[in-house]
Amino acid sequence: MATTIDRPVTEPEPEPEQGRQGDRPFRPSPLGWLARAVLALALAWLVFVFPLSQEGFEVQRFTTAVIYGIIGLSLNVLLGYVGQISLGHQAFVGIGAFTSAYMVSVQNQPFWVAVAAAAAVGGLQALVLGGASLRITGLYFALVTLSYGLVAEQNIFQVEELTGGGQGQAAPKPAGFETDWRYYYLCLAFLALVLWVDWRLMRSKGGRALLALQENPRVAATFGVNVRMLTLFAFVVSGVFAGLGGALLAHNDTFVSPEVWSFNLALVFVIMTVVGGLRNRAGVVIGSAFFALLPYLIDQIGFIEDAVAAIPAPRELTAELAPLVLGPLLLILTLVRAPGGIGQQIRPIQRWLGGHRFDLHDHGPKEVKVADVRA
Amino acid sequence: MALLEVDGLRVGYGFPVLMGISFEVEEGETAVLFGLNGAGKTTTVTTIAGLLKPDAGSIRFNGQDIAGKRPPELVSAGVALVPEGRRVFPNLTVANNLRLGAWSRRGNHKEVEASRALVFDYFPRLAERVDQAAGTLSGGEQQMLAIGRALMSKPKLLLVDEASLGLSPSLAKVVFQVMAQINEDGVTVLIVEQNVGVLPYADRALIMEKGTLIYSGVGEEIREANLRESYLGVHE
Repeated sequence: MATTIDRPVTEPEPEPEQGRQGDRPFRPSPLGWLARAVLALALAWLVFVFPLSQEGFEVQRFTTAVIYGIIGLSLNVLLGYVGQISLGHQAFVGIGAFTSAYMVSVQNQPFWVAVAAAAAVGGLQALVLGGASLRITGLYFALVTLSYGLVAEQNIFQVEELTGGGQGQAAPKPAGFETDWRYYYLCLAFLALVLWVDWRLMRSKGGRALLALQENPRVAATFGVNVRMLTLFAFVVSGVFAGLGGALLAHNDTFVSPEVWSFNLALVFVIMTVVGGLRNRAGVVIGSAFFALLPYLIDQIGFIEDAVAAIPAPRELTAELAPLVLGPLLLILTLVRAPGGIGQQIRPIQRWLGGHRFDLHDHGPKEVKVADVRA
Repeated sequence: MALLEVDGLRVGYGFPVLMGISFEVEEGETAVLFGLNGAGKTTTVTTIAGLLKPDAGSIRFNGQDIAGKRPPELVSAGVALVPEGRRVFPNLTVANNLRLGAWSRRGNHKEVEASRALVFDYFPRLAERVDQAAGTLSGGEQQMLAIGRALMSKPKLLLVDEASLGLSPSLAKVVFQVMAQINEDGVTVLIVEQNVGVLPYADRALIMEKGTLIYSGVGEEIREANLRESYLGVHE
């Protein structure tokens, strides 16, 4: 047997501590708390009141922004937590939309059953596609999802029974939520539910394991983590969120049309998630909402419309096309300047609201690396 | 009966790396696997840990053939690996890194807590850093965390790849001392090393060169100057 030593063992030469923040207790003054309360109220007004001051059509746009938040969180599970990129996410969202519309309009099922079915179909798609393809990762997995998106676009969305063929499928708003503002609040409630599920997931053992395998699947495997099963589980969760987002989108527009679910949309979904900030819920929701509201902002703010119009393009750059033009520019900016995206930029405000000292340079631990978003 | 029996192990990455090595590690021993870069040391321990599949040969652990078994089964059976370069999860806290180490025992809260207390007993510094992100720890602390994390699975056999890599000589000595203590507490240890400072703590020495085992010795003979000069190139 080897040499015996006495416990406890301590290092003879402690190495310098790195990266620790000063732990001095800080309590905001009453004025500081008041300023925080004012900002919190302003944000609450922006989310809960301002959209209702708009015309009905504009409220729908804000509802779309909330739903995009759910879709962004869906991609965040896959891209942020697992490190796999889906270039066919529009298929998951679109099939969710058509499933819900079909259940309500053709099968005469209640909205809640339809939404549950859409979420389940989203999860099932992910289970089948992931089960068949998660042996491969990175670029190859992205290509599989890209192919799946194209197959859905060319085939599944053309199934007349499900999608009404070229005619599309009606998707009325649920009873009790027929008005745009009521439906807006319903979607906010769904967003809160998804945020809660995501938060709970990441506080669980499985969530920690997901983060570990995103950082180093090989090392995670050495502790007995079943990398493939856990990745598949995350993919299914992502599919469920996407299906739910699709269902809510369908009933927001009260109609689902097959041509909406193109590869362009998949690109926007990926870009809005990365620009929002991987693994940062608030950032992802804000980034996603921003992309959903971009046409609205262009319509409302004159100089943005002028700036977009000044961008040279082979055809007229409409507000609807703007996310596809501005998105890549914002993506490059994110990759180069702030890989943590909007989430990284708003961290000083988040911490200040939470009662900490305002520190403009506090962007938190360098959690998101450029390599994450080049997956 | 030896706890670990490796017999005629051949492993390659499209080209041969291990050329059929054989050795044993008795229960309760600290064995050290020496060799230059490229000798096949890491390949040997990662194959034992189930991360690589052998092309030929057998690996018996506790009397069971484990060659080709997957890591989850091996962790449950009692084999734990501290990978080369520490490989802690930098964005997770010390506490969460340790919890992940106990993944195979995640249903057993009391036992996991006991293992955590034991790890903090070995490495009191980790207890002070429990809520700190692992990426902000010093190199020595990260190595302690990597070893502690592996101990959380309550292994019978602890495989440690390059325990002293990047550590100052005095800190490396501390790490070796703790591993000696872990061994005293009943865990069989197989250490991959290039640092001969580990020899005083070893019961068995194995030396590899170009995928073959060129020396295997036990007891006092491995501490003789001859071994150091002939095989390890250390002149005193």
